[in-house]
Amino acid sequence: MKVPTRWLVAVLIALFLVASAAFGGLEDADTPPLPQLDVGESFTGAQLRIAVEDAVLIDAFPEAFITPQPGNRLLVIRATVDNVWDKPVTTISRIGAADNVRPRGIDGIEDEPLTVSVISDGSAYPKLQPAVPIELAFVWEVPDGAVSQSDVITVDVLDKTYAAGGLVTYGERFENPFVAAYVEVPVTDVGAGVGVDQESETP
Amino acid sequence: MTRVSAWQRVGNGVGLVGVLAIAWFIAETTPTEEAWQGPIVVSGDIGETLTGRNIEAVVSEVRITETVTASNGWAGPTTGVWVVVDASVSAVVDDLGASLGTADLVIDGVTYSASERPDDGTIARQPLTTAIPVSGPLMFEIPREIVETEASQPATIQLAINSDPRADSVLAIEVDLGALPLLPSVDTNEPSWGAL
Repeated sequence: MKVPTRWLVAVLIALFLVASAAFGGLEDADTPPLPQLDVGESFTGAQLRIAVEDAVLIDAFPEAFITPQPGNRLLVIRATVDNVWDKPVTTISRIGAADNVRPRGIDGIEDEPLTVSVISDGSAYPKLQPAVPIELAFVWEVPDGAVSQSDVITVDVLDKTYAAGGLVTYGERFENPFVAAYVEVPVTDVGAGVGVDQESETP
Repeated sequence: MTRVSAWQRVGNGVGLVGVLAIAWFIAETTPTEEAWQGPIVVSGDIGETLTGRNIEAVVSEVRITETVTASNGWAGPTTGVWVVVDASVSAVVDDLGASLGTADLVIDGVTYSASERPDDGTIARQPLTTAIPVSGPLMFEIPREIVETEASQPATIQLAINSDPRADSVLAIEVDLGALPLLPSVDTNEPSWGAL
């Protein structure tokens, strides 16, 4: 007897579907849950290793010329960032490490931080050197009351995908940030700040 | 159907192999984008004046240190160590928009860029002038493991006029970091006009 090829294909597909029913068939696959990190635990992405250390509410950083609009305060996420790539990585928004940390669901925080600074010397938007971890402050301006002392906020840690070359673009880069993990961080309100120097306290 | 002789089949086969061989040769030898747009490297040693299209530089000294204090009082700490490179750099033909945009240290295929954290205490990103060199320090943050080994650690200092040195000169100065002592601290000079 001759079996038409068409039947053979149909039977094969039917068999495949029946077999797949054992693993859930045509149901949507579960998306793996987003990994939750502890405070201080690091997430290693394709380009950066990031450990969120703490979250602080502060009035202003006058010594770094960062003063929010009246009625607003600054939310500072402190993180240790290590460049695991083989080239320096900028911290500028939309191309650099400023994209990799985002507090979630806080009034007034739309997107990119006001600035990214080195904690130790206050210099803004440093370049991250390979395998030299550095403590950074990611600073956002928030309306007063949007976050307060002992609130636990969720901070997303993002990763990016590698890209190279292109039609009009050149060189290697990391783009398309996506949320890769999250941390729940308690907020500490330090008022005018612990690191305020004598000059700015004198009236 | 026309009859194809055996010799004709052999000829077709040889012809196909020939075309494939030529295609392979072309594919293998076509310059890549990196090759035909790549920088033109001028190599040299410490103390040697290197001249490219629009950049001339001499690296006078390289030091490795735990801490560095710049002339403007900046003394930023690092979790690694600092490589301090003293250099004099000038433009050659045109100083319009010229600056020391590329100042990199390449160690074992890994690129470190001169720190901009010291602000005006470093010559990184400083504007360059034709024939009048700007002299001062470049500070590089590198991991401590690199200098902890006794083995020789070849490194290349790369200087270029733009942050994108494609199709332009890159001055490459070879230095052996393994031969240098790790100093406890270094105070750097103020960036200034004129040769070191």
